[in-house]
Amino acid sequence: MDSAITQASSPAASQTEQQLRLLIETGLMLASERSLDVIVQAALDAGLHLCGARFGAFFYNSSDDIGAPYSLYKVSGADSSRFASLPMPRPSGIFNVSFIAQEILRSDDITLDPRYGQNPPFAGQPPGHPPVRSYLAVPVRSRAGHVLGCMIYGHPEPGVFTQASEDLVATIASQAAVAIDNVRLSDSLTNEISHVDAARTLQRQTSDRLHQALDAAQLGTWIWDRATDLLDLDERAAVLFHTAPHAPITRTALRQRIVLSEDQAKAFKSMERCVASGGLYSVEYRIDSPDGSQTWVSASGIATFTPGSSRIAGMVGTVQDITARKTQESALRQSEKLAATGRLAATIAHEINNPLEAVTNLIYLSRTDPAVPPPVQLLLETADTELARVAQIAQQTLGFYRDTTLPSEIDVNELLHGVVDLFARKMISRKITCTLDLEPGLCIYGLQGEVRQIFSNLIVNAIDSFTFATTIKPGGIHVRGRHLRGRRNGISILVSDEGSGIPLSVRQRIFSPFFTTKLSVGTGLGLWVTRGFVEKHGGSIRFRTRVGDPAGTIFRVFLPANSPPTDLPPEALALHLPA
Amino acid sequence: MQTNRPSSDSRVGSHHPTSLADDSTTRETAPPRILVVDDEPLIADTIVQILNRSGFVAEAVYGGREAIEAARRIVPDLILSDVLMPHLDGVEAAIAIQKFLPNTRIILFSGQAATVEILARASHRGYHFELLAKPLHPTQLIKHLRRN
Repeated sequence: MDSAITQASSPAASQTEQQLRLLIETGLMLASERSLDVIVQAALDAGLHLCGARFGAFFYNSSDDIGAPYSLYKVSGADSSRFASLPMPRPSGIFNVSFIAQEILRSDDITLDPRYGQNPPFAGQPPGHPPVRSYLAVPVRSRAGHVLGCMIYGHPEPGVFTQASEDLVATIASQAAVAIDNVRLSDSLTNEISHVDAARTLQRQTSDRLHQALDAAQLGTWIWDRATDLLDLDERAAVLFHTAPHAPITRTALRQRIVLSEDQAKAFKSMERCVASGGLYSVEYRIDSPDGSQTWVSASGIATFTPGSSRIAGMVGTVQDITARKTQESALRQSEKLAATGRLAATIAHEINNPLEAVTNLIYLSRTDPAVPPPVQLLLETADTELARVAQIAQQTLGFYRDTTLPSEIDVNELLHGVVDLFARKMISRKITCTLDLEPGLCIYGLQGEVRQIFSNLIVNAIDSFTFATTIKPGGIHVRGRHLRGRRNGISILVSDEGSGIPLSVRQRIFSPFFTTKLSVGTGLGLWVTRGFVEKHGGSIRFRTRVGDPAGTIFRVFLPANSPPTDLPPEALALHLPA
Repeated sequence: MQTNRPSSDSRVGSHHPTSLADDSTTRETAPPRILVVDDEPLIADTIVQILNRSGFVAEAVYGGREAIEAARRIVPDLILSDVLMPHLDGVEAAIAIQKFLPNTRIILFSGQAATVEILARASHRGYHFELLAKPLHPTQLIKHLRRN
């Protein structure tokens, strides 16, 4: 406030000017204020100054509530604690004039008002109330006509409030009403916005969760429109179906392009059934990948309907790569089959090994009897050789070949020479030469019998590879052994032959059980057993082959050195071999 | 099959070592004494014949209990025993024999894969036996027995 202006003016003019100034400042302040507390307090304080009251209070209309409908919101001019301890006024008597009738009540002496004292329970002012004679109550009305509250001023002296003070307070009250209205509007707008935000957040969370779930399940999604036959695929579905996401493609075209021909009818029928019945669509089929491999997918869907009708408009659903599951299932079936075969093999092994032993012994005894004439001895010798073949087949195929029970240090050079010697006669009779090129000191730790089995199977196969239909082509077998040092220490053994090579059509299956090209003489277990033993020892087996001219096959076996664990008892060693 | 039993049987049966010292001196020169145990008499008998022709002194018995009795009686240098036999199996008999004949070499001889598990149980109890797989050609058997 400018003191120069105050001094220059007459006392009455100065007071009016001050009041106007206060009115304008309060009006500006209220218009810019956003806090209900500050608005009410400022309006109340300004009113107190403008009407010259000793004290004032703002009662907030909370008549929506049950019980005390007016809450004492703010006080001005008097000790607020005195008001705070007072009971709240009730909608009756004097209060009704301002609250219910929404009228200004100005009294020079309220104690003389006929309505005074009708306010239960105290009939007048409650004990402890500041003494009031002059009384001015101005309702604060919202634009909608609702009473927001009431500004009440009092003075212990009678006749303090004039028409001018009533007008000034009424102006303040209307300014306060606008400000409160604005705050309420702004609050409800903020509230509205936060509701919208919350809804958006929830929507986003739900959508995120759905996407996470789809990601976790590796599910792609698709939408199919029945009328146009068009499919809309999301990214994962598009990848699975080898097409671009959201690219327009009809279901029929996609099916004909990628679904394996054997599975097309199945996929189509399942879809037709679902469209006819409105039930769930669920089908598993194979897809041809551009790289030549096959993928198993599982597609599920549910019919969508034209709004307000029972007509099926299309379908929405998911698609998933289930190749891994299918592979596992097939491996499981295969391993169950093998387990059953294993049990059968064990039974057969027991049943035939004993008689084989007896017959071998009997032939040996006959053959070595000096009383037997030489021609018969020759026959018995042949019988002995043939029986040895039976014994070998039994051992190879029935999986029982163990001359030691515990893993031990194996001199691989000696073992390979032994294996080659064993088949020397067979190779000579077929005009096959065999050379060995072994680095000295090739040594691994493992099960002697199984390692011997690995190489005798490979050499037998190499020998058999020289059989071309009915003729036998002379050629050579070469066995090369080397130390391998580096990431894994071990040995690498190559068994190469100049035989007929492995035809492309069977290359994928040569390690499968019960697969043989040797017709009547093969069991189809040799390479399967070989790979089993190699992998049990922690090694690997690979091959390269060529048919035509020149032809031949090279098998490469890697076996890790597997040094014996020194801190374990001998019986534990067998268990510690890599399984 | 009893008729097939070699005449050398009686010689094995009548052999009684007088003392440990005497035993070890005779071992240098005398042929190794082998006890062959198999519940299939044909196998036991043919092996005995083969061994007797190859410079061993062998005798056959047809069960685990009989093996223990015979081992006590003849104190063999080596026992070649089948594993799966009724009443008392080869592993149990071998463990019992090894207790009173710690220096006798015991080789188990089996046509069954399950034998390996039985053998593992024996090794858990502190007994380690060699294992040969049936069928085994007599020449390889002889070679194996002559080793060590």
